Amino acid sequence: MTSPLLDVRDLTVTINRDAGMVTALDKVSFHVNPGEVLGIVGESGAGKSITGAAIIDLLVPPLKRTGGTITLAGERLDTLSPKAMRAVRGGKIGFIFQDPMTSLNPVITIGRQLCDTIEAHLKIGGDRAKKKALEWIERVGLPNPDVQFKRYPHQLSGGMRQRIVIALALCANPALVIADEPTTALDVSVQAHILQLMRDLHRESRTSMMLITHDLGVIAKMADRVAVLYAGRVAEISLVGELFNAPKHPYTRGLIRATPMPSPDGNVRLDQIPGAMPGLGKTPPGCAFNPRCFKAEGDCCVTIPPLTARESAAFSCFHPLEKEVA
Amino acid sequence: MTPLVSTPAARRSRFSNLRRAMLKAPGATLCALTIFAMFVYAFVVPLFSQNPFEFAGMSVLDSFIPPMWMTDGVPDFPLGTDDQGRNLFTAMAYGMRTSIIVGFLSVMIGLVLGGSLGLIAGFVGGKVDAFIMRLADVQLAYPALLLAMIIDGAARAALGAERSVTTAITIVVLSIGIAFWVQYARTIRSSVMIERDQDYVSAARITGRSNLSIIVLHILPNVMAPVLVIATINLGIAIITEATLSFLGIGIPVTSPSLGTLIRNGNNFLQSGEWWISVWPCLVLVLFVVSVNILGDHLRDVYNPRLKGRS
Repeated sequence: MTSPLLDVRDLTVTINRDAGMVTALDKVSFHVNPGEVLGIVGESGAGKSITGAAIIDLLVPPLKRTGGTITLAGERLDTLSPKAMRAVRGGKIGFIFQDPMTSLNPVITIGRQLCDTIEAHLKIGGDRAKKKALEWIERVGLPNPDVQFKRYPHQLSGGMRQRIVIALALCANPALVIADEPTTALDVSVQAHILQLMRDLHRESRTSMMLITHDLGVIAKMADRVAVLYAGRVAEISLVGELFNAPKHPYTRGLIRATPMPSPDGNVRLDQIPGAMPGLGKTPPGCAFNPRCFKAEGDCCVTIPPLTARESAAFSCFHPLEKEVA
Repeated sequence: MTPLVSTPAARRSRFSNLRRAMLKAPGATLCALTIFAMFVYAFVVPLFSQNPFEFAGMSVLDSFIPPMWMTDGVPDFPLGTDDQGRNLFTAMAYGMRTSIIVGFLSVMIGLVLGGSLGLIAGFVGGKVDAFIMRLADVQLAYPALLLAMIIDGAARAALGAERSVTTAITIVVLSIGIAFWVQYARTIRSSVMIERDQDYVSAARITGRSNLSIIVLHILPNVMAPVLVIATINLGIAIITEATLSFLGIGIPVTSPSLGTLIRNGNNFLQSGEWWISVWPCLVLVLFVVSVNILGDHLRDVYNPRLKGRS
């Protein structure tokens, strides 16, 4: 096995509240191989976005990284000084934000924004940067690059803006792209376009990608491997096909079943997971999922199940599901 | 898709946009024209006339001549003369020029001072923010005019009695500027706190920009609109403050004209029938300030998206 591009081990993020420390991410470990798309799924509040923000050191107080290591291409990111960190970000990691309405500066033309980023990281001059910016506008599928170059964000639709955000994230040839719910703010037909674009660009560049989403459909279309997060912990990591066909963790199965899916007889099957995810700081002892789990037994309520690897997958459950159950 | 390159047609349409905007707000257009006319008056007339506050420019023999349309009026002095025989028409142009310059410079100083403090407070937050804002609160407890007088007095005491007109104007500009920074700081701070958490700021951070370049390149252009509106309205207030200080005798020295010194000078003769000496500068001051305020109000409505399409 090749060495992973991004290796995150025991990443812990805490929230410093008046009442004391609350754990938002609890020893999250995963890795991204070169050229791979790792999907990260979970409910709202499971810690998906915090994971992304922690990797590029964008956590805002009261959030704080309190433990664990982050290694990118053999270089420890977590011990870097803020200045060295700045050189790594953007140069090696690109970030695609959730909301294209707020992730572009409203008073700067998109051409200028692209050029700034390209100039800052590729160390090339104005004319070549502009040429490259125009290339990127075309590459992300916008017509008339010359016209778009001079436009301001408010003159573009949501889908067009998200294409520009993608161009901004990729134009510096990063080794890793973190996409934080890149399609959530878009309507469904535009979502499909954007996903297709991301897939095409990924196929061309073979850039590694961390795709954060709560949409299992997006995961099925895009990801090679999937990490399922629940209440700030990794519930399961496995190859995408394996995850959908034979989930090991009861939560994963619940998540898959909670996706509306038309059955052959025309009814829409929709199973809920009873209860709700525990709020921050209210994680029950033992496995965080135990109050909602139909397989929970005594030991689940006492000790936190460790992440155990089996073949290509890893899961944290004392009573994993067997293949035929799914 | 509309073409955004500047073709002749696009330029024409931009021009007709201006015309449409002017037709839509005739009051504001009138005010803009008034302000423009006053600028021309204040900056063009002194080019072609002698400063009536210099000895060569006045003659005591011509003192107390009424405006030209009254009996004893002379066409050489269309608005009459004062006790020293100064031509009021040119004296007001000179005075207006001083007032406008003082107004602009003090607004600039308030804008730069309050703007940078507001940017720092909003961006850094925490203790720095608390310190700057408490400072602003303390300053708000004093009326701006009183504060300007205090700063003015302190500067004069520090510099002693020997001072030139330029020093006096500098002191007035500084004291008015410092007296008005709070409003800018508060407005900018609150806008910065909104912009600071936007994704595009995070995006700039990820691309490796330093805090300073994020503030200057990304945040500042996004928070300027409301402040510029305040600055417009404050221009009127600054000019009034200057006139008040000069009227009270602590602003621009009586030996050089400003609207305030002219009014003060004429005030001595208001009771004895020579009304024109103080009424003209008063009228000009009122007209200018009202025009600036109406224009400022209009700008505020234009820049406030919530009011768009209403009224």
